[in-house]
Amino acid sequence: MTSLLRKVMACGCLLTTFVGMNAFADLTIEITQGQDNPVSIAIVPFEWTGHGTMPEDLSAIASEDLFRSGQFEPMSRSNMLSFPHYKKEVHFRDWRLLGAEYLLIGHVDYDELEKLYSAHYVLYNVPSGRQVVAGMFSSNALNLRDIGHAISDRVYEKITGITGNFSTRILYVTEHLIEVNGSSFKEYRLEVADADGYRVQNLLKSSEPILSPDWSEDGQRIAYVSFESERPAIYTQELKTGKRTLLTSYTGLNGAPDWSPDGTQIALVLSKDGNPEIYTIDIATKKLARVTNHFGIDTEPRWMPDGQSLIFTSNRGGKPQIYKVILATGFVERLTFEGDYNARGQVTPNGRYLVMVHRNNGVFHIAVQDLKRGIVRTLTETDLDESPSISPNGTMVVYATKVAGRGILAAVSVDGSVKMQLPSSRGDVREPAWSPVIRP
Amino acid sequence: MQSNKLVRVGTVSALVVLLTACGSGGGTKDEMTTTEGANTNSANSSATTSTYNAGSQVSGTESGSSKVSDSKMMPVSAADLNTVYYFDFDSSSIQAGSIADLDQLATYLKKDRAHSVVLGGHADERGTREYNMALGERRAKSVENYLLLQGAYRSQLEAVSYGEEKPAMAGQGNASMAKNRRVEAKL
Repeated sequence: MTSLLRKVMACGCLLTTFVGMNAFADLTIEITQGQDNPVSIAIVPFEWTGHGTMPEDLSAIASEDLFRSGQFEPMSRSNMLSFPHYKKEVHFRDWRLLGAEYLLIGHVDYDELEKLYSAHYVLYNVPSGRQVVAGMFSSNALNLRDIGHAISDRVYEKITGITGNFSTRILYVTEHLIEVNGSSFKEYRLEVADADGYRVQNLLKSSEPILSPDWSEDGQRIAYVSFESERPAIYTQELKTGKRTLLTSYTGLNGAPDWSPDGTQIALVLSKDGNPEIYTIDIATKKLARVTNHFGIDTEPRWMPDGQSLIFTSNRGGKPQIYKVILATGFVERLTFEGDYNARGQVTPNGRYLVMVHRNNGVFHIAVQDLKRGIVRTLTETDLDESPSISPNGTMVVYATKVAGRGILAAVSVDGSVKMQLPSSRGDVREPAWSPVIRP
Repeated sequence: MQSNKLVRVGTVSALVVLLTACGSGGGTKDEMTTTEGANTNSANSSATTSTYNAGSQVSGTESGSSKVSDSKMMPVSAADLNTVYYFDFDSSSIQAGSIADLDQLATYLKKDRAHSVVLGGHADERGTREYNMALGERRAKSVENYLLLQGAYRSQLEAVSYGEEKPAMAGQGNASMAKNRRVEAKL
């Protein structure tokens, strides 16, 4: 094994692996700030009608999901007076006395023949005693956690009116120092985990840097920059099969890939003509179209939700600021004016808010600019915050920061009311990319 | 084409994949990471890959053994060259203190046109990663342009940016960040 690892070092080569899913959370989530008036919900442990113990505690998954949103305060099980599983067992008066606004009950069946788990759930509004929503989700043993997240999505959506993002995933890069017989070398990994930090999968390992991971619009493919050839190149990779395709490896920069909302193109940065410029590439034909033409640095393109324009970072005005270019006309407009460093912008799905890295008094924070009113608001307090990525429902931003010199992921709501950290048990973690809602 | 530039991708066995990648020159066309670079800049890459690969870690000091023996005959030997040039924050202007070192490097390149150098541009960790990637390239190109003005051939030079991905020094102090804003010439 030792000589094998040396070989990896010596030739700078890499391998792609799909290791078995890790059942334990690699990223733990600590809420550092929640909403002032979270919704009180009682999530009763679901009844298990099968043999032995239930392989996953689905109601606990739902409870943790809703707690992590910062908008809910799930009741502790030890405070519950009873564990009802069916409506006839529910005494609403008890739950009213306990102060629960909502009550979620359910049971899980196992079909031995089909090897299928089915979770039946019912959500009640406690004050009125009315049923809000009821339903059933099924899966095999491998995807059992998906059922818990699907229930969380339904509950969240019914109560807040906003699509839940508990069934999403986060793509990120980790850096590790590997020691072998006294010599050490760096290893970079591209990993994906459920939004709650569970089920970590390794997608790529390399002795050279990996950066700027990005999802396709359907969540089935990813794009990233890899230095595995000791020069930057952009690859796409299918998640199910692991099949990789080299997209670009021009002389100079090959960077910042961003998949178009319709999935047919990728915006990227190339410096093959001398300067870092924004291009789009048609994935099927590999045809390039140049978008910017300026002697300054143009980088970090990001599609606007309508797919008609891109935003990008440019120092054409002297300092890095965020600009917008309309693809049909090439018309460029500057979007940011506050502060002397605004970069890596992304606009929320409703087109209203620009989330970006913003320097204020020499410190880099994540900030949000209301594109309608122009007001800039700083969302984070830590230093060296970077790589913001917006959740598909537009409510949360995951980003990278440093705590005690170590790279970790953190998240903040776009309105600034909810904050959390996602410390990892291993390595430096950075460059998070929040997946779209993935339809199986 | 170097066999170590080939990348084999697999989903099955890590070991098999690893050995295939390192041990053979095989691989299908779309798995070659250098195809386009080699087409557009073949003189450049063929001139630099052998020495570059010999010291694939940026912090390493070794250079290709063939080059070392070559340079013994040169008045300016590779070992005598100062190959790291520092920059101010958010700047790609060459510092006055680097000029003498760069002139030496230019002399070395002009003595033997078989000599080549990869100029690795780096940034400190402040700012976004892709912006720093562009900044690192600006720094490498500043050095490249200076060497061209001093008479080096374009075919002897290649600018590559690593952005903030390969810091020379860990830590967030001003001293370590100053060490990280640099161009490293790999002979």
